[in-house]
Amino acid sequence: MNTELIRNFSIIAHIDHGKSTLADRMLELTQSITGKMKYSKQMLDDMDLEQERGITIKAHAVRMDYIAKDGNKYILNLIDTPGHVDFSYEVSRSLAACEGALIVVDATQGIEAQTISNLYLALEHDLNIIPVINKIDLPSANVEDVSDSLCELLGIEKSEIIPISAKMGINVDKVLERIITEIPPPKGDKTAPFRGMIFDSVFDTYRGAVPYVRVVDGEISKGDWIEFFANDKTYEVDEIGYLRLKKVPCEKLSAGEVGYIIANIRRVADTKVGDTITLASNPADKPLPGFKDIKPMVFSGIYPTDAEEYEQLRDALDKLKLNDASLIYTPETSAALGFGFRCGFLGLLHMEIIQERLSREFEMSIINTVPNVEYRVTTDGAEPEMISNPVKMPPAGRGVVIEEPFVRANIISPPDFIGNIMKISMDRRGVYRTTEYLSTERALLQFDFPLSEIIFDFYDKLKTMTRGYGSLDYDYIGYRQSDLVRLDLLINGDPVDALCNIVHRDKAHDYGKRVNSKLRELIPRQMFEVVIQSAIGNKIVSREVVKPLRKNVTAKCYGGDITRKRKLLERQREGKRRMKTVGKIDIPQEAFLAVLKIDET
Amino acid sequence: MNSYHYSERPIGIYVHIPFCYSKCGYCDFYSLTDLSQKKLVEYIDSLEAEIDLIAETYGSLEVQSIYLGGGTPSILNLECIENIWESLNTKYRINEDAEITMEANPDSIDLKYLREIRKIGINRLSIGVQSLIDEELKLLDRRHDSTQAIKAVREAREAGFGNLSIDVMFGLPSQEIETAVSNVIEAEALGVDHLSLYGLIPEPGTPMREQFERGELPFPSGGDYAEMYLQSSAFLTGKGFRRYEISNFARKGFECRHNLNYWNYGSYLGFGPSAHSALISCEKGEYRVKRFWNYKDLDRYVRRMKKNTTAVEDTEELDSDKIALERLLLRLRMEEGYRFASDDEYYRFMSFDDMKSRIDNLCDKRMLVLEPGKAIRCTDVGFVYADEIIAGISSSLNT
Ligand SMILES: Nc1nc2c(ncn2[C@@H]2O[C@H](COP(=O)(O)OP(=O)(O)O)[C@@H](O)[C@H]2O)c(=O)[nH]1
Ligand code: SF4
Repeated sequence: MNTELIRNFSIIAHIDHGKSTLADRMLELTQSITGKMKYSKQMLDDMDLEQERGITIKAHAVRMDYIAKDGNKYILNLIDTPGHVDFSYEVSRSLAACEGALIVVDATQGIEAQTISNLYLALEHDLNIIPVINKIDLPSANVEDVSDSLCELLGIEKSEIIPISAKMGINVDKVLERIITEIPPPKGDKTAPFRGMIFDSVFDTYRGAVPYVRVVDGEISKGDWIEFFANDKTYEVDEIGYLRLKKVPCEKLSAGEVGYIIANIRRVADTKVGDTITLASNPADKPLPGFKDIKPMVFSGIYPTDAEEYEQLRDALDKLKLNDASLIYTPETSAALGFGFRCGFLGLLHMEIIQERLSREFEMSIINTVPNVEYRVTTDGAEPEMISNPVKMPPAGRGVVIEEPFVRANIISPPDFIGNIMKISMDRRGVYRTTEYLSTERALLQFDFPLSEIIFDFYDKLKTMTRGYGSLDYDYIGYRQSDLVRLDLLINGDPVDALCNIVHRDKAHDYGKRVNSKLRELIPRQMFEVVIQSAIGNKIVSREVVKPLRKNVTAKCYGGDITRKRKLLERQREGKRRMKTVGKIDIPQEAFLAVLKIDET
Repeated sequence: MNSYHYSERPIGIYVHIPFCYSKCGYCDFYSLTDLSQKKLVEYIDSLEAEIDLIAETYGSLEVQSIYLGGGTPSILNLECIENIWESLNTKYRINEDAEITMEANPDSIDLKYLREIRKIGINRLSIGVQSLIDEELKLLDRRHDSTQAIKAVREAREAGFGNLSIDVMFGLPSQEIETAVSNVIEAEALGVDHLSLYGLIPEPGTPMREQFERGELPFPSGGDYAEMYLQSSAFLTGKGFRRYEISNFARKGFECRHNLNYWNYGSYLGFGPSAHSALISCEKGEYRVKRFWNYKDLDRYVRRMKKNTTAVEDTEELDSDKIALERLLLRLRMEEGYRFASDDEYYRFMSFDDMKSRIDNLCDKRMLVLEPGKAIRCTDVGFVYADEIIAGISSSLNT
């Protein structure tokens, strides 16, 4: 394969700015699809969640043949990128597999924070950028302003921007031509030992984990034995090929190409994104740069509602793990909830996806505890310990240093809302860094935040405070010390481990109060008083009481109509069945997550 | 293991008499105030038709109790009562010593009437006294006053009713604890054998409920409500009554057999609009329960009977989960409580998820008594929370 005739590229775009539509058009123009088949339906695999949530959870790739104006037939590999901050590492690996990227901006919306973050990532990888403004057919399109911001951001001339309508197919041919002329062909040494970078991996029930790779050096054929740098296993290659809309087997893949490898690999976890594959017979001495063993950022306890379903839950998690390497879980027990697992996720979205898959695909009924980040705790100068379950946090005291993960966040918004953004960011312990004007209409603010402060509802808050215009993206920057305390929640004097949380000392009182009052709403009246308290160590910081139930003595004799009385009780009982008895109190399952939903004001 | 077919056990018969002189604001029983001759005749004809029709299938069953309820059965003249009695007596095998109860309101009976119904065969009378305070009776829209109530009880005795019950209510709007209790004290002083003590509840669909929702009726607080019940009940038991069910008190031997049959999971047939029936068998300790009930609509009932078809609105056959709930619900409202048939049943019961801790907790709080291996039953205070306790325990059942 002549690498001069290969172009590898990604599309960077905010959700709904038209990435899928543009990809569809390119597939049509290159006759990669016929008739009604569509990228959006075909490319994304069959996980319904992705479609429903309008996000691409996993990156995928597709190869197109394109006959350019110069008369040559080129191979275009479009490598898709996931569109959520939880998956920014995956994005970086997808970008690393390319030499160029289209940046697509909706002419009616302008640039969003996430697009900028991904753009920076692309620039870091020395990708050639082709700026595209989409949806120019819409009357509300503001091509001028958007062009201004793009010029500002990229330091380019207006003339370099391609205005298109993916929907109407306007100028999509120009985009293809520019890919040929502006994105360099892949470099790479065909004679060097084989090195392929995994930019994605999918799980096939019949064939196991299937890594998608960009071949950087050398070549690979069916029957070769391969090795991974991140684990010490060896596999025989069963099949290799490239990706149209389906897998197309081929004889060999060589430097510059993009394809897949099937080698009976049991778990996706053995084909880590970013890892380098090489040949057992002639191994490369160094892996490709950029591999990170990605660590979960968000942790939550997951428990079966019915204690007897613990084993089923374990099986379900095992199965999920097969095609989701980033999910981690270890058994734990809670006095309140029994046997379950502490699970680690890339982010909140990832957590929600797992929860939904557990209930949808495995029909599990689960309770999950309030998610938290992982803390680094050093006691009296000893080795630091990583703590992902708040209950394990030692009580604050002399000699205890607690650090928490911080992120650097980029927030983009019309300048009118800067005041609001400042306010909510300060409320979330944000450390302000800079403001930059991308255009008169768009300011870029940078803050450092404790991850725990923005992980839950910060984005929603931001949206409200900026009337929907604000957008957010962030990168992990490391651990920093904070004045954190463990806030215990006591019910009738007994701590409920599943409701314990780590908060900043200054916020403990306020937070405790809000949690308590939320719980007071959620915990139904019982036969006796229920006292809800929040405490730091022995110090009670707030208290609420659920008054005892109204006594429901005896209605008039129901005579022969027992059905009616039974039905009333059935309803009452159903309510109870949705609760968990913790200590001696019936607590509705929502309560364990309620803490997430408390309002700030 | 216990096995029987419903036909092997004596049943109860309930007859619903759906007429009242006027409607009380709190009442959600099915009754009409159209007392025209035509309606009454249609009703009696239909009732007799139904009794005959059902007898074709169940006539061979042995009957241990009959209950004429309503509505206001004492609205019916003697001839009507006699006809009903005749129909039942000719079509069913009624035991010599069957308990035959009739409900009556103080305003619609006199000594003569009482003597006559006694003669027909009614041997138990249940009088709707409700209160001995005139203002309260007005608030409840009752047509009688306290003098009539007292007279009714006296005359019932005079007429020869050796088994006499009255209904008393508590928890009326604005009622003080003392008033509620003194009402019970006075009622007891009338010298009855049985007393049903009901908390007033503004049931959905009643005028009282609407008033309550408009905020016009200051019902006593939950605590006062409980206090009224606990004090009244303590008074009655002190006077030699036994609280054999949450709201029923009887002198020894005067427990209402008809109601006991409901609660003990016996079978019964109901006649008349809105009446309920249940046929319950047992196979190796597993119950089979079939319930069915008539339309709550006199006209429809009459039309059905004219066509010689049953007036059953719906039937349900209970699954084991519903049966378990019903048994708990019925038994935990009784003083004896829920009894385990065997050690096996006891251990199975206690091994359900959460069950043990739930029960221990209730015992700790003195709501429940556990007689290991034998039974669980509500305490005095437990009765106040009966529904909550039943819902809680049954939510741990996993049948
Ligand atoms: N009017 C108009 N709508 C477009 C254009 N491109 C995409 N859309 C619409 O914008 C929405 C989002 O597009 P999609 O390709 O799914 O966005 P993605 O989330 O970036 O993949 C869809 O309803 C498209 O039909 C365009 O050029 N013009
Ligand atoms: S007399 Fe009895 S049945 Fe008739 S309306 Fe009053 S409470 Fe209801």
